[in-house]
This record gives sequence, C-alpha cells and structure tokens, in this order.
Amino acid sequence: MAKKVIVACGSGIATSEMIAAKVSRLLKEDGIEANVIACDLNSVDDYLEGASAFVTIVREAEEGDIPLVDGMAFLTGIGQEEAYEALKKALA
Amino acid sequence: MAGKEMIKRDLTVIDLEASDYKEVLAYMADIFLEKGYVRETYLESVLAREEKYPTAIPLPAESVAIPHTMPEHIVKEFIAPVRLKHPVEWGEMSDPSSTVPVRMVFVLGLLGAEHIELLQVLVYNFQRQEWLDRLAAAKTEDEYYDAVMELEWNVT
Repeated sequence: MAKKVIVACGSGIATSEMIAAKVSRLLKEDGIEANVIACDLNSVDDYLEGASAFVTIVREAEEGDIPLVDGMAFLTGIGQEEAYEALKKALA
Repeated sequence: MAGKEMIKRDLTVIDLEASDYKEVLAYMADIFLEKGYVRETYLESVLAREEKYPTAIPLPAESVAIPHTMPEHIVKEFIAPVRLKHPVEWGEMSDPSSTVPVRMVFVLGLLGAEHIELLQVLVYNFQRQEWLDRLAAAKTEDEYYDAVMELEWNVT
C-alpha cells in the first residue's frame, strides 16, 4: 500500500496544492510510490493518522511522531533539496 | 499559459496607502465586493485567516504576500496585483510570529485547485529581480498590470 504524505497550509488550496503537486511530481520522477494529500491546518488531524510524512508550511511543531518536512522549501525552491531528502528518508 | 486571464486589470492597484495589512485587505475587499468578485463574508474570513495563518512568503530579495481565504467566499475567480505605497509588516507564512516588510501583494480569489500552475509561475517570478524591478518602476496601473503580465512562464 502506498505511503501517505500529508501537505498542509492555512487554507487547503493555493500553497498546499502547489506543494502537493510539486512533491507528487518529484516522487513520481524518482519512482517512489506515495499518496500525497493536500489539506488545511484546521482539519489536518483527521488526515495525519497513518501518514508517513507531514509536509507543512507553518513551522508549528505539534505533529507527534510523524516526521515533519519543510513545506516552504518546496514552495520557493530554497532549501528544496534538503527538504526532499528528508521526505525520501521518511518514506523509506 | 492557462489562467493568465485570472490576473485582473480592473483589480490592479498601485500606491495603496495603508499602515497595516488589515487596511490593505479592507481596501481591496471593498473593490472586490463592489465588482461582484466576492461575497459579503469575504473580508471577515480573509482577515481571520491572515491573523491565524499569515501569507507573506519570505524571500531573500523581496517578500511577497498572497492573502487568500476559503472558496465559499469567492464568487468569481481573480488575482489582484497590488503595490503598496510604503512597505507594511506582514506575517510570515512559515513563522506566524515573525513579520517581513511587504510592498507587493497578490490577493488570490480561488475557487479550486485548477490554477496551481499559474500560482507556481507567480512564486517563481517573485524571485526574479528583473521582474520585481519592473513592477517597482511602474508609474501607472496600466504599466503595473502590463509588467505583471510579462511574467516568465516557468513551472519548476
């Protein structure tokens, strides 16, 4: 079963969708299977169960034991390589 | 170049005078409401969202804000290019407790995720100094709108 990646921002459209699209493409290009879901921070708790990675724009640290990945890095491209490595590690 | 028509000439504003982000949003919300782009619930919701999850993207050269709210407050989709007369402190998306000075604001009125490519292109252009310089140099709304529309269509 494909691993689940949650991408969250403040409103569930715009930024989280942009990042989810980019993350999906990068993973696909690398042949890594994953289910990438964009949602908003208000309802993220419903989605986090069973997720292998939590890509978040807002650096509020309250995820528990799901690995956090820097979402802003995918949005701007600044620090994207490190963030992508962290994501791949979480999905390994 | 799908979606470029979402950037609206009739919603382009330059030299907007405001002392904080709330004034910027209130000013623009009036225009959006008057022109039928948003519902009456728009201003309250965009202010509430901005307060909780601010939308300034911190970038090395110049930070840009992309305020937006949930689709139920939007009637017609739009992107409103706005340049402030003076930089205003705007909450950072990745660190709400921190602010950055913002001059360029792109207010997004989105109904769904179809125009993601356009948004990705915008974010790419926010990091192009030559584009930002043209925006800063524009003397009229026409010039500003034309400069914005000259964005480089590069989806990274």
